[in-house]
Amino acid sequence: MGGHDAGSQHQFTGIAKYFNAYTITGRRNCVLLTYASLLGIGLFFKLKPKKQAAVAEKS
Amino acid sequence: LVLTLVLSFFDQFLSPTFLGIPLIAVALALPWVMFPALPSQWLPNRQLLLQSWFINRFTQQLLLPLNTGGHKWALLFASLMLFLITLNMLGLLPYTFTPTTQLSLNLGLAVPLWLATVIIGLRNQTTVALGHLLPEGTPTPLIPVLVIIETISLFIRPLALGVRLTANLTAGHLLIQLIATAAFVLLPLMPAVAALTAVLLLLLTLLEVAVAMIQAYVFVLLLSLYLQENI
Repeated sequence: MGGHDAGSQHQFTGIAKYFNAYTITGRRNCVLLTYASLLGIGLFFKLKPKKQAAVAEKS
Repeated sequence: LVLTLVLSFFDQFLSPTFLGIPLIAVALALPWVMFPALPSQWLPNRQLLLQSWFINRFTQQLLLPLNTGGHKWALLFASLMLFLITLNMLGLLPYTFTPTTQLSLNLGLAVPLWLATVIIGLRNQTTVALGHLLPEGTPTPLIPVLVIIETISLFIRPLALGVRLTANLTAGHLLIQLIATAAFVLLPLMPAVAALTAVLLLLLTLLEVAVAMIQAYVFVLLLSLYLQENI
């Protein structure tokens, strides 16, 4: 179950060399990319300035 | 007119205290007296022989799929198994409090041990540990979804470990009390039905003996599996 995939039969080129679902480093990079993306999206919405323009127009 | 002291069916799960002293501490120390230390003789007596045979066989079987690094956990797994199986079995005696019905105890065992396996995996083989969060051969569009799902399933493991043990034992004890009460209440009214209920109670008690042993084993087995992934 915990076997390490050598990934020798897969020859990836380009971005797939780093982000693929077959080699262990590829899988690791995909996981890290997903975590970084989620963190990025979370930070974006947290730090986004609240809209003040509509309130200023009404008053 | 039947007077009964049972106010609620959940009273059996109240952690007992006496003059402010939590008796659960005594209950948790009880398994220790059930397993006397082995004397220096190679062949002591029947009980000790049976006990040491069981411990050795169990540890050997549990450690089979683990590599050498995992063998450091042998003592922990063996003692945890003995602890849980003794607590569960003793709890089947009438009017005995079962500490493993307390979620606090089971989570207190599950969370640190699970966390230890995760930290060991992340420290010693970071890439492999992180890579396991994405199943091999996942189609590309599904990758983010599966990473999230696998992360959730990783964090749900300690909860599942603790709640599984708690729920199984609590449900069993509750059922025993309910059916025993039913048999007792039915006895003056419908003796035949009460007899059938008593038979059901006997079968249920046998089931609970099996559940007590199996749940202790499953707890330790799953921990060893989590360790296998990370060591």
